[in-house]
Amino acid sequence: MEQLDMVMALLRVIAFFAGSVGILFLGITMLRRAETITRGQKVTIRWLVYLVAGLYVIAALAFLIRPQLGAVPAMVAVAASIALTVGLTGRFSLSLGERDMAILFVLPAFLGILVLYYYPIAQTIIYSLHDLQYTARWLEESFIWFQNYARVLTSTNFLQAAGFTFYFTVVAVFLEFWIGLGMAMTTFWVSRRLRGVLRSIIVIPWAIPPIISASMWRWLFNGDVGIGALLVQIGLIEQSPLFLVDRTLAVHSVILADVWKWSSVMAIFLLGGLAVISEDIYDAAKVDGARGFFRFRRITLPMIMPTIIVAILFRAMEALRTFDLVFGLTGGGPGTTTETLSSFAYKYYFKYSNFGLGSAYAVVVTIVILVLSLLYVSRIRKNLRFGG
Amino acid sequence: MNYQQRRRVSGALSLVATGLIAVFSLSPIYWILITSLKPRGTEYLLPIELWPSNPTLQAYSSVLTELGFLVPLGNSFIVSSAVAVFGLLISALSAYAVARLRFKYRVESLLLLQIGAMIPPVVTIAPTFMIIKTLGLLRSLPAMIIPNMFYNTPLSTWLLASYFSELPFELDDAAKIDGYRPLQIFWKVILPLSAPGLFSAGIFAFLGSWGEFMLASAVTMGIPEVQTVPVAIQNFSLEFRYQWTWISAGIILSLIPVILIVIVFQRWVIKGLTAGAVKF
Repeated sequence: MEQLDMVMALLRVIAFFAGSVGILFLGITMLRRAETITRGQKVTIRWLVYLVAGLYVIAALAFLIRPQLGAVPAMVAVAASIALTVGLTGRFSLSLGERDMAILFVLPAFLGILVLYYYPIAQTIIYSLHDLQYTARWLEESFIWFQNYARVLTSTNFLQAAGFTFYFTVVAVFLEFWIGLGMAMTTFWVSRRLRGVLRSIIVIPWAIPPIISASMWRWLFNGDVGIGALLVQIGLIEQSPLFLVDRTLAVHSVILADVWKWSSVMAIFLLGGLAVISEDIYDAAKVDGARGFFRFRRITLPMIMPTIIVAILFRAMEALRTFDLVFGLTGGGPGTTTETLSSFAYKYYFKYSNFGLGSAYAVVVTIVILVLSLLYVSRIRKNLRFGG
Repeated sequence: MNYQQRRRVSGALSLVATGLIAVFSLSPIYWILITSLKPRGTEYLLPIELWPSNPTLQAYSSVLTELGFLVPLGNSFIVSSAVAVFGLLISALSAYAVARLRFKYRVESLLLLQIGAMIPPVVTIAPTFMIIKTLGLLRSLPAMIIPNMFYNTPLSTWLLASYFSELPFELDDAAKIDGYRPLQIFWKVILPLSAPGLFSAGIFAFLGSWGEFMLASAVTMGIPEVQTVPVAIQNFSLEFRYQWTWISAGIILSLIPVILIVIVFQRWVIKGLTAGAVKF
């Protein structure tokens, strides 16, 4: 019975999705046609086009408040678009040009992204402005302006989590960069056969899911029989350190686990940067007598600087939102020492069922990352332009 | 030093460096592997054996039979494969439009997708959970398949768009002369020629959803029948927190597909990873 319910629910979702794509496409195409026809025409007819376009905005806003509410204005908007075009041309035709097809093709991806990224963000912002405990129905709860933010920003928990998140990000990304650079340089420098082997080895830590690598490191950091005990066994240290119990050590244990997993990504990025430097430049440098470190400092480093910046931005964005690793490795402990902003948000959602405070935490994380994202996008923007 | 000596030294050095990187990258996995091969209970014995004196697959059989680890493995396979296939279909369509059709806001629409991908999951998780609840899909595999399809769309679209844009445009023109419509060109001309690109994007989608934890742990709500591998491992290590031969066996089982994929398709994985940061 439950299986059947699930299948029915799934079919409903698929039908709804396909239907939305179809109807929206019809509406957009018709409106675009009306817009093209009325270009340079009487102001009154032009205004009609804007009016119908406004209906779509209203539908979007209604959807935000309550998804079911959005259906009626959306239908009205689509019907108005069709009526407008039919009224203007006197006939209904559906011959589609290349541009129409392009819109139809991107629509499924867009609709999904809108519903699963942009709609949730707007919702989370709305949640964060309401007093939501044990519920997410913000329409029925009181609007409390920025009180959640005030509570979050003044709490010692937040200060500690923010402090740890930043410290973690700076130290981890710094170490990952240098280790990654070393790995990339080595891979680039060794013989062709070894290069293939090294590449395969390097991608492995990247491919391991963060939550699973967290479990692995919990065992490696075991006080009795972990790497500490191994070091004692070899005679390097006298007593196995309490990796996840001692506060300072716990912070750096999390960093170590992160460095292990993400240095490889740094290396792969930098390797891509190294690969585009042409051999000629090195040959020319060799002729000029530039050697070893000088060559690295004056040629390699400047040449891969754009890649380095993108790689560091990318990693910093990911590090600032770290959740899985901390959740699986320390659970935020000891106490709240290794709690990140993201793991606090998650805790407030699913442990304390306080969607208001959790959302406030989540929005703060986003704002912090936003700056880096904008830098990142401005850097990669030129890569988004494809030929044709 | 003469030339030959120098070559020998650099050969030895490169072997040492390779060895160091191998130890750094693989030792944690090796540690888990040997733990999983120890007889139950002996994982706590000192001194630590770097290769178990009497290795056994006992932990694996316990994990697969008594603990029912086949269920999360199967679930993860279903979820990841479905995400790879259906997600790819949607991304390929939009990538085709962005890379090869002429319309006004191509860069902007790709940008809108990419910015979406940078949004931290913790911001979208609560409303997404509410959406899934409203749709009546909680505690089901589609609850993970549908969101993961779109979580991977931005990256897949990007990878595929850069792949599609490298195919010669004469193809489209020739197909157009033959009377093909855009959808036919996409399906009959572009897609068959883009198998490697599709494959590489598929690998990323597969791996991405194989490791996704936050949403999976929220929507499965502790029901073992629908758990994916990451959720199961996390629950294992809470439920049997001292049975590390079992947990290790579970970890190794869930890493085997991942490691196989990245080693076999290493070239494509690396190309895909660098596509965003570096333009070749």
